[in-house]
Amino acid sequence: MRVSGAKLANADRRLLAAMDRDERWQQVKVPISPSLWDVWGRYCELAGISMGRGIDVLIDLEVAARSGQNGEPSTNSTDAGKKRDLQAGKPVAFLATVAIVGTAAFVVLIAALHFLSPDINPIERPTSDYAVGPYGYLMTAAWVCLSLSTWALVIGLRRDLSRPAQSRLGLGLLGHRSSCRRNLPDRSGGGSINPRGDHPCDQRSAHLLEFGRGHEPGITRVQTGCEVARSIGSHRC
Amino acid sequence: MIAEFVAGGLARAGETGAGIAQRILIVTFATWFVVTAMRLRSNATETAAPRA
Repeated sequence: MRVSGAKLANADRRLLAAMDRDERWQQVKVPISPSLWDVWGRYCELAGISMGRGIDVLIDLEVAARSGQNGEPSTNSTDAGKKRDLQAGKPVAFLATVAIVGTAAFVVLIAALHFLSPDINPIERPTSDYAVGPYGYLMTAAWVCLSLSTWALVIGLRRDLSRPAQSRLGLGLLGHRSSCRRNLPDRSGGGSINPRGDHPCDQRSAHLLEFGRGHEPGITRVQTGCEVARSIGSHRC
Repeated sequence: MIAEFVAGGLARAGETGAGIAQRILIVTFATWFVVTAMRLRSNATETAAPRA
């Protein structure tokens, strides 16, 4: 069966029309001399587009010419590409900024708690012990900051990375990590604190609680909360 | 979370230094977070603004 060039061009047009809506970032190595690359950079600067977008325009022109379209560069398509760039880049930049600020806030809060609660030995006690005591709200705020920054990073990476470069398992684990509500102090008072309901203590405000999971580290933290509260003399189990 | 697991494991094993190990892990992960976020941000900024 012979396929004519016109039929192939028609098939290419349909394929491009279907795939062109799904624009993703591709990486290529361009074999080009540094001087020519600089000239290309100046051309693109004069045209007001990025160098990558300029190459994209060239590819568009070439493919359009090969697939039987008119081959004329469309200023509208270039403008639309710049608009797409702006739309794609701004939220990711914002999410990355949220991730940076949130992580910095987490570290600053943790560092500040070392000075605010000097009775906790930083060599032996985990940072979650700071959730007990008068500055517990700062530890809770630090965890909220970390959770927000993690989610921002997950969403930013999800949006920015091309599909083949993404690790779904990695992003999933990162998202799961930010979803875990860890070691939040329970200040509601009364009743059992242990997720399993087997902790004898009735002074809930002096404990740390692992919500939702009920696995061993949570139990460790509950015990640690008791120990810390006991060590500062405000609690008896 | 990993830092908490490591610190919890060390504490259960009776090892001293669980807290400092956790803090080292926290600083390591925070550094990775910031570096990754900064790379993401620079990439996004480069995408949004025309590059010469």
